[in-house]
Amino acid sequence: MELKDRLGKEVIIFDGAMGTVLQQRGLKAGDVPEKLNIEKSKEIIDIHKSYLKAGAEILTTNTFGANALKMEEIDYSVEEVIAAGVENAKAAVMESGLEAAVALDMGPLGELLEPMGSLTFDEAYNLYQQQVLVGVEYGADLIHIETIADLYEARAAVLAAKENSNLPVFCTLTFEEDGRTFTGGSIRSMISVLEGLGVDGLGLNCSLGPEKLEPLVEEVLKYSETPVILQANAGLPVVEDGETVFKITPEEYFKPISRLYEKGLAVIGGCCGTNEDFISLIAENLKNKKVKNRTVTSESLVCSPSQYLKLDGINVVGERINPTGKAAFKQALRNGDLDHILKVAVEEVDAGADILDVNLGLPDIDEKEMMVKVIKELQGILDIPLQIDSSDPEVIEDALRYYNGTAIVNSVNGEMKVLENTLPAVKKYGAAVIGLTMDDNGIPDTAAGRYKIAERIVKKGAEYGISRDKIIIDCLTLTASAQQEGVKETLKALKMVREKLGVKTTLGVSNVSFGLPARPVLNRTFLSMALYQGLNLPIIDPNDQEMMAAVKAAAVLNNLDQGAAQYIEYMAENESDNDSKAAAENSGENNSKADLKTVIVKGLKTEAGRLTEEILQEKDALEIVNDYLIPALDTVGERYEKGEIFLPQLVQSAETVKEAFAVLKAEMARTGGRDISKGKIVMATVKGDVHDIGKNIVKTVLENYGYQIIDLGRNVNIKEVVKAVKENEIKLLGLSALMTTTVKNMEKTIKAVREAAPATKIMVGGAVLTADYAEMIEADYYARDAKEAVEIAKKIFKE
Amino acid sequence: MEFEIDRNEVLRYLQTAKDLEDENINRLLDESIAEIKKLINFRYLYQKFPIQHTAEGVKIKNTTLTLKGRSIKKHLQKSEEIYLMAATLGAQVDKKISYYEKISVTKSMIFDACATTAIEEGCDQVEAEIKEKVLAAGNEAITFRYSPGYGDLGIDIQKEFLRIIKAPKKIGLTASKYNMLLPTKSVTAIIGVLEEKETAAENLTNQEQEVVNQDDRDLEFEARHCKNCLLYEDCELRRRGIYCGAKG
Repeated sequence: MELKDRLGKEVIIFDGAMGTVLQQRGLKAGDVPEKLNIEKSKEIIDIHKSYLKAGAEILTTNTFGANALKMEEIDYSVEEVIAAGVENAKAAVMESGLEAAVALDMGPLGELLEPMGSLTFDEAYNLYQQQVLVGVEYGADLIHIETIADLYEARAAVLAAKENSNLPVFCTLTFEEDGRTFTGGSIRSMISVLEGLGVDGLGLNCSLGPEKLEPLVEEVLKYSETPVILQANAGLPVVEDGETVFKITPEEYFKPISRLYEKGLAVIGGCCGTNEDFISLIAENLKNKKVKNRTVTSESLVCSPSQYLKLDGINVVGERINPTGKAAFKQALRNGDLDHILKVAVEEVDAGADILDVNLGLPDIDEKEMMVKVIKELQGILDIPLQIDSSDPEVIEDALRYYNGTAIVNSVNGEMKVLENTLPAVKKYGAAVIGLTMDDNGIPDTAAGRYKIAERIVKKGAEYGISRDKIIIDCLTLTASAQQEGVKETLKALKMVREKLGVKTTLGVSNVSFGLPARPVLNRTFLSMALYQGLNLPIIDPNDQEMMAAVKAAAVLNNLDQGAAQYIEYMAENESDNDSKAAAENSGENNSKADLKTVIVKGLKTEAGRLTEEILQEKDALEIVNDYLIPALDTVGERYEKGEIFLPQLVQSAETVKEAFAVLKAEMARTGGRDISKGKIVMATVKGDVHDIGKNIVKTVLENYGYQIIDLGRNVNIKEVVKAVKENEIKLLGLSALMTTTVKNMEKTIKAVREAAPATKIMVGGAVLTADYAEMIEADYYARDAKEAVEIAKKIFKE
Repeated sequence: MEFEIDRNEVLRYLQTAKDLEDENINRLLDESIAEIKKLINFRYLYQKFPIQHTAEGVKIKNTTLTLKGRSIKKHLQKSEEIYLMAATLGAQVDKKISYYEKISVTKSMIFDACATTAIEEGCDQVEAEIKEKVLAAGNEAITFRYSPGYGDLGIDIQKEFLRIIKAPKKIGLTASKYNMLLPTKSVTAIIGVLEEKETAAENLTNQEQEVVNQDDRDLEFEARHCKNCLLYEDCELRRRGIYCGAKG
């Protein structure tokens, strides 16, 4: 029987360690084991053979680190090393006369991916793709991705494997005892994401011995529909006289394994410190045995790597990341001002949203590019699961590709074309999907009509292999002022969908009150009615405390919030929030007589905005800039120079001015008044640098002086800098680099910008730079600090 | 491992006075200290290796690595054995710093300084643990921790260094293509075992230590970064030959 057919039915025995065996045989610490595929192929074949003899049915090739990043350090190419690796395993099978499959082994790339590291998702994908292609060419029977600590990296590897081969794909992650990977990933998220991508086997390897991993594997067995793999270490290694020693015996290793076998473990082998004795004991006892039946708890789940959310109660979807009807948000999108969008997101999370809807649809921007950017930024700082809101299947596909987790897609509807265009991507990435109960003929008037469409969506989903627990139906809120009789039909349909189809439901709520007075009351009442009918995912503004309170109350009254614990907690938190807000406002009153200038010097951020609004009643924006902001900044600058205040205070004041500016800009956008921007400056921290506090300080101060900053962020590709400079006809570009190694990228960026836009002036700064260095890499200016950057800007924009 | 996060240290990294009188900043500081303590996922490891002093440099036996340069040679001149150590606060700290960069630059600066304080504190504890082992084995003392990037010891050894002690697999610590340690709040260091006490760093007064370290330091490097610093005179790090990372 083929491996794929046996998988999950009969226990399959994996081999044991390769790396630690090689070290025992004299491989030096720090050396690259993969080169032995070529230099000592006989030895590698011998190790494979010993595992075959022990009873292994899958041999892993000695290619754990055979990616282009690591192979740079040796004289062989990825192709040579992998080809030899596969051939060695095949030779062992042939010479032994036993049967076994050969698994192309792919370990972590050795560098951290974005957002923590500088390696991009696409770069990681390409590195894995190269390995997969060679492995396939030389005849590997399956692909085994292992020892991964970052779910994003696992996703890149699995996608590379699945998109470039038809082979079975295994993927195992490495967890610490607390059930988290080094990057914070949870077991449940791993299962959701890997299963969503359609791996053939998933589980755990490395890090600890089987006994320590036992509870974690039990969790996997409880929730994974996919066959479960375990390759544990031979206990925790102990270093004795510089030698790493694994102390547990094969018998000790086998005990927890046999317990896990009873619970349904399907693929079993060993990791660091194990050898043929360990494998032989497992094979003697378990080879060809039937995999034990287990009951899998299946449930609707969305997740980021560290946060997972069961969609079984009521969960609030935040609706604020959406340009519709928001001038400032639209402006931010057009300017590529991601900070604005991120701030909206953070507010929603703080207000208690469980999921964030992300809608960036604006006719005059590249929605796809912006969606990917925003998703990467959001997942870089937040752990909340996301809902991708777009009607463009290409935007959805890209968003799902780069989202590190299991997302919800918002949305499809009953139109065949829409379903056929969007569902394949939903299936491929294991996402959940919202189906709107409308089609080519519009929204049916009756509940029965809408139910019928919901049924069609569920059925079509099933054709694509999307199960009901991944489908969420939106019965569509109608406006009470225009279609009063329709409101009840929505609620009726919602109930039918819940009861008859057994899928989850969602509704955008606030549409109901359009055109009527006292909208909040209608919204809240409608929300309560819908929740009573079984609404799972209200899409609302989480900053609206009344709506949030209604959600929390409904959870109590529907017996979903046991002992009203969450309700009590929410109310307590809110009360203290409101108290502190009131206190802040009171203190503001005392300060209202205080000068805006004093507020800035003291760095009182919240008061700056309010005071600016007050002053705007009497003076115009430019006056405020010249009469209040600039003098205050000058005072702060002087005090800093004199050593009376320090950098954190300087920055604090700068951020306070920024608040004042935000009010002025909003006023400008509202009244269409004269632009107070003194000029646009592009800023970026160059490729390779992942920290940009320094750049952010300079940015804040430049903004204070009225410059509009197009901030490209950190780890920025040369192409991206060139593009932003050209598109915006930029006069001044600011680049920052923190390390001597990345200054080289700064030099390359400067060169590329020079070619594309010779008139653009470039200023540089950063920890390792000096005036000499700046000159050497042919920058126009060296800015030692934020103040010098301002002086340079003044010169360029000729004030 | 318990972390204290010494306020004075944090203020020093922020290049401020010890008695900063600013209510807001002090509140952010307290918040950050409390917050980072919960967020730290401190992981560390170290391993002892015999070394051989060769013309090429300090060869670490049983490994592929030879440490090159004048400064490390000097640092380890009295040692026959060394410890390679690595430690990290984990990825969540980096994520939080990024988070605050979007919310408030002031808070992110302060949080970042707390993180730097924490990793140094963690390393002090690891160093103490190593020292205990060294003393128990009958040796007298250890050298201070010397990291790639100090003096003329290049950071281009980071990847190999980490690979030798299997840091990526064991504690999730990696180096980027540009030899930046990731997660960023991490340290790699070399500690020499000293058989005789009199050369031990901790027995010297600060002034004597200054003299001892004088030769260890890359003076050009210092001139570039430290001379203009407010803290030049009483900088503990500089005395130990360490560059804090701030622009002078």
